Amino acid sequence: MSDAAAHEFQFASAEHQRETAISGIWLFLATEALFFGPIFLSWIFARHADPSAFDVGGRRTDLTIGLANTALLIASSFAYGVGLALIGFGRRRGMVAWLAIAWALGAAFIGLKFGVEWRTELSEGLFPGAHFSIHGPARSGAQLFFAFYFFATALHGLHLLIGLGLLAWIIIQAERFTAENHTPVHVVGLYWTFIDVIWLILFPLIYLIGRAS
Amino acid sequence: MTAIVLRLVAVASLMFALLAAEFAATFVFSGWGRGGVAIIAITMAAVAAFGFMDLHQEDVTVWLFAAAAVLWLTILLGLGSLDPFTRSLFPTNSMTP
Amino acid sequence: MRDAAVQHSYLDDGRTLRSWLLTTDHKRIAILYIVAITFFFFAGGFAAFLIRYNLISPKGLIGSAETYNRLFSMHGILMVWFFLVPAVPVTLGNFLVPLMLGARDLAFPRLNLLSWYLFMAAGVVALYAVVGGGVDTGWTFYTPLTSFYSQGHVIAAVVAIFIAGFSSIATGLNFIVTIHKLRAPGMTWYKMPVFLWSLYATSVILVLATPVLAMTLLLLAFERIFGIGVFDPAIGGDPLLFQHLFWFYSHPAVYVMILPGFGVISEIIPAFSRKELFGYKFVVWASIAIAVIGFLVWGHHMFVAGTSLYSALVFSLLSYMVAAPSAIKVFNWIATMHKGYIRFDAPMLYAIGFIGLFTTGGLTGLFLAALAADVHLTQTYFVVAHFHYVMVGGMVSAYFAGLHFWWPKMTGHMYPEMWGRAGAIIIFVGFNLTFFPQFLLGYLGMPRRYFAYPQHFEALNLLSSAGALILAVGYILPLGYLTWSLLYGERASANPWGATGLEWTTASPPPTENFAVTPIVTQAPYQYRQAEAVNHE
Repeated sequence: MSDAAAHEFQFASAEHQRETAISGIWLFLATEALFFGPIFLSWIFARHADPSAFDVGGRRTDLTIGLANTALLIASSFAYGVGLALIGFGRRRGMVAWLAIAWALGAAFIGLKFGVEWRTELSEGLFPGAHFSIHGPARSGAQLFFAFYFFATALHGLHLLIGLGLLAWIIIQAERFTAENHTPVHVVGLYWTFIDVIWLILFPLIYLIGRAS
Repeated sequence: MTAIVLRLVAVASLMFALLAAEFAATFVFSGWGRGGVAIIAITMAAVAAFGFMDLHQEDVTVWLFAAAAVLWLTILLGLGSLDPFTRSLFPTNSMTP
Repeated sequence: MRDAAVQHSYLDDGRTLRSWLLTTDHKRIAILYIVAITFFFFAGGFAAFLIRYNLISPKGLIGSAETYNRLFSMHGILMVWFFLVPAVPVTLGNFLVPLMLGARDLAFPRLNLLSWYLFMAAGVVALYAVVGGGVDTGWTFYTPLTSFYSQGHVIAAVVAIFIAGFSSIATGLNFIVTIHKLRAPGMTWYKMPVFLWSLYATSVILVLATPVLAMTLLLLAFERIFGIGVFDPAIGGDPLLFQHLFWFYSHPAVYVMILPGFGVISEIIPAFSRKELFGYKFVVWASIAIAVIGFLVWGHHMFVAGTSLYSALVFSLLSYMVAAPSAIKVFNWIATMHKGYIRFDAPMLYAIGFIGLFTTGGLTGLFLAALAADVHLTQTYFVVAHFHYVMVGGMVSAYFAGLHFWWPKMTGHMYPEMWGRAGAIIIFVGFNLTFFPQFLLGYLGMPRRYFAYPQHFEALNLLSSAGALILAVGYILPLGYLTWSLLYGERASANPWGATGLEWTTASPPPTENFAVTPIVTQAPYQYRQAEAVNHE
């Protein structure tokens, strides 16, 4: 390795440091997966209490935005993957360009989710509570759905915002990274795609199951 | 380089195809139903883990961590939903107003 | 520059406050943690002391049920999250994991320091909640009491535990990755001391259960702030969901509070019996089995909460399975001592006390795992006695055992042996006097968490409170003589106990980089020879 000296004192080599960092981020992602566990379990409990009323809530979501956002995140993970591959061949400017695309796609998700979708829903009185606008026998179940919806999307959005911050940090620091030494790019990429994975599970729970027969 | 990008294009295409299948399961083939949607969603998560996160290139330690996450989520969701799915609810007289 | 540093002990490597607060040395962080958790131990202990003071009289001496509720909540919250869960991992674990592995530090030293700051931030918020009036919810935070009715500082307490959770996760993650990646050459998995295996098992729980608690507390905070949420029965939500999620963390967390203790005891028993640990692989895999099975039993906390009978039966059966690996450990320790050349130094006295107290706590746990018996015993003092035998009799004894055993390594000074032995015996006596009467009280039907009680329970309660006084003396004693030993204690050699393990091959206290030369491991652990010990005496 050309940069054999560039490692912290508890590691035997730069490669040792790299593989330790990668396994560290994977274990952190395992933690994150369990962090979202209660959200999934509360979906199971809430829907099981009264499935048809819960689905009434689910059908009030905006499927078009949901679909667009899913596509944005898949495209964003793809863009990040290309950026990571480029730095592996030492092409730093290409990496910056593709990471910027990934960042923009993530930001678009945030804009659509909270700027458009949440705003419409809040103005339509879909936030659970005394002013909830769905009445009739499905009122309780629909409130339960929206309690789940707002909580889950807020938590996912928060993760995405942190991801945007990390991505921006990688882009700003781009000068540091070389073909041999770009572990942070790899680590942030794993986190970035993980947010995508969480959304891939949340998406059907929010938008599709209530509409399926 | 091109090989990696081509592979990523293939993974992304597969993801979009699975997304379309999810919609088909929801709106077109009612026989697939909710179970179909769930299976496709889990498949998409797995494709992302292997396709985008390159799980297959990592060492045993990483595999162990990923497997632990899946196993423990299964314990949480499985044993957790055992209770509501087998509970018998008895009717009560005092209804909330 | 580096070579010069190797000569100095980690304690001499910078003497300013700044050099301590910004350190990434695992040994210094361990010391920072010892200071912090000692404070919380005595804060939580003070609450316990007031609880026992109140229960001297059947009418209650504090005069207010509300104050009493806040006292036992404070006791539970501080003791569980600010002492028992972190106790051994962040102090002895932080200090010893790299030393036992033959590594220079943990894999992520900065994350390690961050975990201490998170812990301190959590502690400050928790103290704010306590000083600001406290919470009356108990340490379990059950909904809908916490989400709608409780008047206390629930949000502050929840935030404190949320932050403390991330401190736990950081520690657990660091240990797991370090044990996987930073073992010295030749240190194969089966050459690792049992202490490392049990910390590995502990870390598995910390990393996979704590996030569930964190999210559950967020759901609770959401419900309390917005007045509506997934636990709200008014809209079809299920309060039992909270209990399921809470115990998914908190039952495994019980093993977080005892597994490191098993590790400490497994080091001490062979060292003071001068014998190889009996059935090493069984002890190792029992740790892992406890960590995994511990996740399958949480429902036994909810037998009378209204869960389905079917799920209660499943959880009851699974709960019995945990008894097997725990029993394996107890038998293996006893078999290790069998025909050993036993020395009764303070760590060994604590360890022997641990075996007895933990076995009592463990066996009474079987009563509670049995569905029918639990319906009678749950919510009584029987449960309180049971888990204090495991948590205090077990874990606190193990913590003290480990603290005395590795004290010379950490500080470079010996503690006064006679005082150490006296402390161990006083704690054992005081503990049994405090908690054994509570088994009887619970069996006779005295409910827990009540501020007053019927006249005929007075004698047993008086015994228990008298025991608490002795126990308090036993806990204050080490605070005194261990502090004294820092200044006046005899200088310790590198290996004062003649113990095996890499940590004893380096100086006491160790240099900043732990080992001048990275050690190469060729031997299995616990290679004690009895003849040698006889000569040593």
